[in-house]
Amino acid sequence: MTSFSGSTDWRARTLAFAVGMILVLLLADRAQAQASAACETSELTTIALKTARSGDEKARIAAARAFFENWRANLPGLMKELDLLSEQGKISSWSASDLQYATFLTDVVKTILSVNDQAIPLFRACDNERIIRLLVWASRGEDRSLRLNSANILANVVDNTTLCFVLHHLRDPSININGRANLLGVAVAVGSYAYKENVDAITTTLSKVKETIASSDDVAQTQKLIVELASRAQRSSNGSVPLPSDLAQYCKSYDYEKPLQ
Amino acid sequence: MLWQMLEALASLAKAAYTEFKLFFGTPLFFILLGCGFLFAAWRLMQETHPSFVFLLAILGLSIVLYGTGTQGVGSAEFKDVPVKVAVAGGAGVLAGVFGFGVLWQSAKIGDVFRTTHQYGLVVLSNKTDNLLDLTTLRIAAKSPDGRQLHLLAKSDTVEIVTPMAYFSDKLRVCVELKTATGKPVTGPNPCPPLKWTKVEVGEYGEQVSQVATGDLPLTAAQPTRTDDRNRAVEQTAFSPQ
Repeated sequence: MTSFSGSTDWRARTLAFAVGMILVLLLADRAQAQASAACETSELTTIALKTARSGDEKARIAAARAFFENWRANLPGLMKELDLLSEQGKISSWSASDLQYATFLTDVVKTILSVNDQAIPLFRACDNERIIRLLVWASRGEDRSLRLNSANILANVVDNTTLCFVLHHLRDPSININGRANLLGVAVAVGSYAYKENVDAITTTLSKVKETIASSDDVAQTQKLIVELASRAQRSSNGSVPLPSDLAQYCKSYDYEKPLQ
Repeated sequence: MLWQMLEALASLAKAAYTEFKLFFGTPLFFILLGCGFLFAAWRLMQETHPSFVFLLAILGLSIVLYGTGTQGVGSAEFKDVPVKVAVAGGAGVLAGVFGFGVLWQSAKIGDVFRTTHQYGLVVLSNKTDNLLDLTTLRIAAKSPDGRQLHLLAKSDTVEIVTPMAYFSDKLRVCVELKTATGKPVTGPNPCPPLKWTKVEVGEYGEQVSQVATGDLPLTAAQPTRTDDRNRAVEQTAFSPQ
């Protein structure tokens, strides 16, 4: 009787464990599905984007207001559109209509991020290196509106996972003054919580920037940002901690020697 | 010699002072003084409360009448009751002229007193961010003395109704703007200086006689920066170039 009871207990425990595991797997799968679903572009967003792209100023304003109203559903679609634009090659070779459309998209994304606090985590969850690279290029580009919008977006969304893309551009000696100031400003926003790899990269980048601007005039703003970034990186709360595995995708072993993309 | 010259100067000054004092008792002085009051009433009509304008006008008219009618005084006795009647010389004529004017311009005079029930409309346009729909914002408007004002938010403009006892050239209306989530988006100057412009009655509604237009003091919302784990981090002032 005792052995039978013990056997039943063992079977019950095994069954409970198996059911528990299945539930955990199901929940994890559901969470993953929900996360990827949150980054999907809805049909309505696609239609509104088409209207905005082909329509006049009024159509764009109407579309933008619709995007603001339901930003959670629309932000991934707007990001996807930026991703598609990144396939068009260098920004300097874009057509005027592409530039105008990109300015519109970044204007909308910028407003969504600044008004809704929960939009920043959503952007980070749905972004990829192409979108960040596009925004970095735009932040140092010639088109003023696109540059301002892109720099604004980056200052809010760049974190330890994407800081390396910004630092890579800062090492480029051909970057213009505005671009350098913008990207330094973006990096300053991350400096206070940069992990070890990024702190090291910031230090190296700053010495390269200092070398580049040594013979330049009109760099007072740049100098100020360099001091600010160095100070923040030095007292970073994560300065001595290596990048955790879940944040290490791009910046853990970023190759700063490869050509800019 | 010197003493004589001083005496002559003193007597001249005394005579001039006496003449000067006498002038303030002449009818001409009172007529001019009254006209001055009437002129002040006319000049201040648009920017001063009507009751004050009314007082100035009445005072001016009275002084003018006093200046013109100092000569005519009469007296009589009715059943051992002495009655003195003072009749201003040109006062009758002037009173007739003013009385006729009151009847002739009665509608416009009525308008002067009707300003106590008029409204000014302040129209502030969004010149900062044309993509933003102003109806999605929380907007409050106050007069500089702290009174809450009624407003109507449209997609691109905000119309603020300001009850006015009188209209001066300039005004200030203070606006407070917040996003739907409560983030402040009021610009650095929440009380922009504005200027009234007269409009035709009916153009903006029956009771709106003046409109002031300007820019809405709107600025971009400041995002709450967070780290990789969505924890708030040290905020930075960032101005892209």
